[in-house]
Amino acid sequence: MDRAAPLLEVEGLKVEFDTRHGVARVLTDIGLSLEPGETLGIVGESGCGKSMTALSIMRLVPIPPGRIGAGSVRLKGEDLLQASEKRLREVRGKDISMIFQEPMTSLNPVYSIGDQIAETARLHDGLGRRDALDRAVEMLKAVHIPAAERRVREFPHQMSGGMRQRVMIAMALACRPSVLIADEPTTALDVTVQAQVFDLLKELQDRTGTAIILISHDMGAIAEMADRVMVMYAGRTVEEAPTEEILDDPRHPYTKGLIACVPHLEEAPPPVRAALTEIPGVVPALTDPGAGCSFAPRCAHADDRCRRAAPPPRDVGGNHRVACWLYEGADAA
Amino acid sequence: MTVIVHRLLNAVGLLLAVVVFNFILLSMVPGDIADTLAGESGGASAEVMAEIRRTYGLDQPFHIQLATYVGKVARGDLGMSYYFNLPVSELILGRVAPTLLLVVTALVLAILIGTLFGVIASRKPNGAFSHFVTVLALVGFSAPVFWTAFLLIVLFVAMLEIMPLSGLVDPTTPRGTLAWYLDVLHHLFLPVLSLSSIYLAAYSRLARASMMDVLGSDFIRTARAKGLGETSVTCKHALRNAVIPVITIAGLQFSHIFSGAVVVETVFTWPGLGTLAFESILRGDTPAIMGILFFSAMIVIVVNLLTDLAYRIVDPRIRSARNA
Repeated sequence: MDRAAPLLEVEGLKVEFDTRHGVARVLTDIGLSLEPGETLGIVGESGCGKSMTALSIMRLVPIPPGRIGAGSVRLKGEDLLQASEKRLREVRGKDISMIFQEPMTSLNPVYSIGDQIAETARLHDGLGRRDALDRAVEMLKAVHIPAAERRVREFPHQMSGGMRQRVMIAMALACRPSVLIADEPTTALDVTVQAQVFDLLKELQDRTGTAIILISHDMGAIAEMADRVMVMYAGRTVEEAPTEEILDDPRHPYTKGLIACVPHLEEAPPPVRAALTEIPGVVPALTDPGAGCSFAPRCAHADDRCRRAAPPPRDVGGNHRVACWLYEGADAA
Repeated sequence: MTVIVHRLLNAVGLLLAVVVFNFILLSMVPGDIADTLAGESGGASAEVMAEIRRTYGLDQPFHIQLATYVGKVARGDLGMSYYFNLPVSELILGRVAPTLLLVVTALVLAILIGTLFGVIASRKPNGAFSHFVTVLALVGFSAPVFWTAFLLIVLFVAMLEIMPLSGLVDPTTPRGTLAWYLDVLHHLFLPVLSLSSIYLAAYSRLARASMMDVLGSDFIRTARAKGLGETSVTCKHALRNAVIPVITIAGLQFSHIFSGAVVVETVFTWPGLGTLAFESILRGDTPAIMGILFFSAMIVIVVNLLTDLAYRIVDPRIRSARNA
């Protein structure tokens, strides 16, 4: 397949944190690429490095104790890891925006939401006070907040969680970024509100062509939103494939476990309920990963080799890559 | 609006309670004006003592005395000072300006410099400046204010000889001229430095902790993700949230700083309310003491009201909660 340089390309990203218990390898050899208008889903349990990947792309990892050890993050060919802090501030909020998991605390309580949205427009697009406020109203309308002219003067505490997440989206998209990173944008919200937020993101993406990196631990949300899915475990990518492919034919035992964990209402009508599945064990300590596959201690298929050496990612056909010794034979295909 | 009316009614009730409580407290002190006068004049007969007590209404039953006093206070009459034979209110008004000058200057400086120190320290919590602030806070907090004052006198007056020892102004300077104002500032320097040292320590420590807390918030991460520089993040997004506890403590400490002023004024013979209070206690001048207590209670209540207003300006959450 012959392609031009992707919009965003991450290669060999390695992030470490100095902790009291030694160096934690938070991200090891992470790579991803993103095309305009595409949605990439990143899934995994808490602590697997999803959010850290997002923060590394923005270079918002707290340094120290964090350290970006190796790799590159290229936006339209420009390596952000080598860029100056000044250049990065131009990129943040303008080319790459981010929304967070906690809409209740991600907005500044002492400024009106209008001021907070307008701030981005004034900073990056050089708008005056009045024009920036008009932009804020326009953005609030775009995220379907009723009575936008009035609500632009309200403060975060006067709004519900779902409304605040809409405000966060309005703020993130105010300067029409080419990449939006959504870090668990609906985790803190009610199920009905979750669906509304996803619909809104899709609608805005259709209209603006923004590429989205959607981080979630919810396989259902990913299935609905993402074009491609990247599964992370203990700071590594274990599997990556188009969404359909990964849902129909998950290869890595961890991915299989994740998909099995999603309850299916239609398959188990009451009163006969199937027991919910779970993956036994917990994510290992990142300070002491050992030599083998980090999933081996929880894996039903693990053998001696899995405990000795970490499997490299290999192509199994159909844009599907998986890092597991089970598919060693498929390497040639 | 109703909120403000409510707060004012509360304040009046509180003042009434202060007056009654002070009166009861001071009437429990052994000895009265007759004893004091008798002591000063080297003894007096029982008839003279009774005469003095009748003049000052001390022969009345306790509840009548109390009611009379409360009634007078309500009309703005704080009684006559035994010692000066002047209305207490006049006495206080003559002394209030130097005290306010001292206290307000010290407090404002302590808040501004303390907050600045705290903000700088919070940027590098393990840096040298941050440790300096911690040590400063410890020393400032532990050192008694009179001791700090004496050390400053030793340094600036005795050794360097660049500061005046005491008083408000050199009496030979013509009043109202520029030289007079400068001389007041010159005399103000050491008292303010002594008084603000304790509070500076407290505020820098508080501001440091508050800033560090706020800098870890999610909305600070949002501000950085927007592309704001560190200066905007610190001064705009963090500071406004971090000053809320500083305002709370400033309001509470205003009453505290009054008591500190008594000590500092006494050390520097600053002609304010503090020295008046101290001397009135020594002289057993009950009306003056009660007047000063009433006046400082009033100041504290007014400052609390102002603190409340300041909150509403800084924090929109309080604004709407109190309006609701």
